[in-house]
Amino acid sequence: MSPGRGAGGAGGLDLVVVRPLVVPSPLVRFPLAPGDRALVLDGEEVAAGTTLARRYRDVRVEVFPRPEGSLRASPAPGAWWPGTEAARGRGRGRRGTPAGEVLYDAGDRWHVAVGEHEEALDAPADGAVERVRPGSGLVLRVAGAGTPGVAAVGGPSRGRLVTFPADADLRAGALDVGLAGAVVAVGARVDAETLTRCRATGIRGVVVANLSDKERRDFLASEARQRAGYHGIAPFAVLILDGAVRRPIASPVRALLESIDGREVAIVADPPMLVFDPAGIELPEVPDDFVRIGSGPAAGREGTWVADLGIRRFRAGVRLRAGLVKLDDGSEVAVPLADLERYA
Amino acid sequence: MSSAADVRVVVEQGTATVAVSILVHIGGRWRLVASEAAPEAVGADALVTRLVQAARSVDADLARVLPTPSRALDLPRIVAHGAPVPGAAVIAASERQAATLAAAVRASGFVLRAPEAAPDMLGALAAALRPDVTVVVAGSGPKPTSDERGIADEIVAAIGSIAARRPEVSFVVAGPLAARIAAPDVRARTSVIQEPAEVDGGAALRETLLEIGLPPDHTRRGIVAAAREVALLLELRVEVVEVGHAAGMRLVAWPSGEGAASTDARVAILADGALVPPDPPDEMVDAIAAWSPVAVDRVRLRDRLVEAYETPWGDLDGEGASLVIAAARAAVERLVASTPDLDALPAPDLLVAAGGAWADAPAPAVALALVDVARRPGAMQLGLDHARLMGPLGLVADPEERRALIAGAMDDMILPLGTAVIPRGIRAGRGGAGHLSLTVGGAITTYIELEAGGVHLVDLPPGATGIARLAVRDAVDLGVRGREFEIPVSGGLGGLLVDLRDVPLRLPSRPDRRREALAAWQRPLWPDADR
Repeated sequence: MSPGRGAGGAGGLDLVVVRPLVVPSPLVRFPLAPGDRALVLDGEEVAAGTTLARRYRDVRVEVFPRPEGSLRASPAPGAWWPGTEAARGRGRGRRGTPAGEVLYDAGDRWHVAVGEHEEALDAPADGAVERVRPGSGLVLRVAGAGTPGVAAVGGPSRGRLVTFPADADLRAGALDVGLAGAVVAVGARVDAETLTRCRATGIRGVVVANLSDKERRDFLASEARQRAGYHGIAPFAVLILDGAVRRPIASPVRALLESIDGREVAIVADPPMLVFDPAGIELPEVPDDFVRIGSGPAAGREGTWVADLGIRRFRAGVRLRAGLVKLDDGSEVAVPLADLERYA
Repeated sequence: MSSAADVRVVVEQGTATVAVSILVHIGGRWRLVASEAAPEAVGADALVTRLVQAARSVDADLARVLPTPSRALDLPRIVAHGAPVPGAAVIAASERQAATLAAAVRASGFVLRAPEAAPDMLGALAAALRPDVTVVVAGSGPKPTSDERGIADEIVAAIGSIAARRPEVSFVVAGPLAARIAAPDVRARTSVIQEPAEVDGGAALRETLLEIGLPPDHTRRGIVAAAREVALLLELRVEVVEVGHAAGMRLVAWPSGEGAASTDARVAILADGALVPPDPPDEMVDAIAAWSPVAVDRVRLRDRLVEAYETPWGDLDGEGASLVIAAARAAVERLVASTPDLDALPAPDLLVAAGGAWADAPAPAVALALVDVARRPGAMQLGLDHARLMGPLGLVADPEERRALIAGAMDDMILPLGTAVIPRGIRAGRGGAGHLSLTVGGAITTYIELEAGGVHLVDLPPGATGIARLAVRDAVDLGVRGREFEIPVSGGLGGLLVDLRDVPLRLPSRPDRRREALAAWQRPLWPDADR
């Protein structure tokens, strides 16, 4: 045993954070706003691509007296009012009532949320609807599995997975229309311009290890501008696996992505996750002693666990529990235990 | 012989990290024998086993008291939990009312989700229906204006609509509007405050929201109770600034009542008081950068803050350590700026830093951070809840046991950082600003000539007490105005800090000079900061 390795022996891995590689049958949430119309019911089974709800932009509140000859009691809050806007007499103003979501009935006057510019919310995968709350959200139990990230932008979106072989940054020049309809898994980082180009090329989603916060904000601003236009835009999503600081995709995650390459996958935002059907796939096995440096200057490097070193003094005089890690190049380094992660 | 009555496992299960401590009753008092924190996902059990094993291996007496590691999980536990900050929405009859309600919501540990521009009922309803919203706050003024009267029926109907769709949401309604909530199922979920929100600065509304927002086993509830006990036991005014992953808290507790037999406290919890709130605005990023002695551009700092929010337990050495301390300073600065009502109270005798943000920072660096941002003219002791014991111990249900635990473990619970002496109004001039002498054990141990604008550090170890005599050329404010003062001081890991900088602190506006100043103030207390 090397000097200083005695604190915890080969144990200590139990103090290292475990990140799940695959989550079976995840619950996925989709936000709804007042004015949106859910098209599914609690407990309903849906196939990928089924329209779960219609979302609307430019929602306004229409107030009108209880329609004559309609319900004796007010409809439940959140109920969909189909409207009676059949007749619109020229020069005599609008007759009837518009379709929309009934918000509430105040003083025998209905307040109905009426939207324009419809967008479909499609199921990203097969599953069963767990709960629908009009104006609030919809929860779907996905039949397949998911690999989690730390954040997602946009979505949900689905397509066949194309895994880029090199763990390098995705450049705009590498994109072509042959990738239209695909979800591409790229390397360490991507910039907002490339993401915009991806969308323009018809790509449905990007899986990336990291996205700088500046690029994320730039891309969101670009998305907001596009959405403000009259025409709806195709679904597009970015799944961020690790964070904002550069490091490559973890090798267990890359192995998983390669094993499902070519399959239909979907990116969902809440929780941030890549959803897929695991049937017939041999999921990669992660060795028990595999560790990855998740944070700090050496973030992204991988190796095997050697020993718990106990409390060590690190840079800036900070004292932290450390682990000894044998890196891929054969060198051994002491790493703060909290900077390490493993996969299971 | 092992006895469960002699040992307590204390667990503070935060939203980002978990802290575990082992308290053992030895020699008539509770002693902290081991303590460690780890990412929350690791869980407490792994730490408990490891700490018991470590404690047994270093001390034969402890080996007799503590069980074998295989039975460590059977030890009695005192547990406090953190929780994500809940969302709250506001529905009001006017913009003025909405602003009043929003201010109370923000000071009570909720994230405000409602648009403040009332009366946009659609926007307010959309916010209230968000899945993370657990409380909807509504109210009307004492004398409703005509527009407020017109919209009251709509607010009541909107509340009914929310209640029907979100059975888990509760309501707080202040002022005359409360009388209009008639539906029994809604009324059963409504906390009614008779007086309008404006009364007494919204104190009743804030108190109700704090009560609703903090579950019974919440760490912050425990910290408040522990601070009250400390105030009572030490007969001191105690201020706690707690900076966590999800939120931050500022509280002041002081002895009150006849014979100072009870305590009073003022509490504010702010989601924006978290170490790094999610998606911080540029002003917040710039404020953190302003406290960093390391040059870092906004883009790179943003990325590091994003990572600090996602994995707050990582990257805690080197530049990461400086960044955490800078972010903690900025968080306390936000807490102080948002709680002017607490500033109006007399200055505390003891200022305690609590929360996971301070956990791995060198103790003297925490002392400097505290006096940088929570500065009031006067002298105060500084402490650190280094093992995060205050929350769990404050939650012990039996008052006698709670007091015994806190009294017995006081010296270990609050790590002494030292004493800060902060006179306001020190002026530079020929011959220096004045001098300070420190007398320990009847002998003058230190004499220093004071220079305005600097921080003088006097070595005074933990446990040592003395008298500091401060004589200045021009009258200064040290709680009272004068030119000569005798101040009882106690030691700590930071020693005695004589802080002659401005109150409030004014940093140079040029970034390079600001960083130089920060590094110069920090160097004596944290010499390894840049190594």
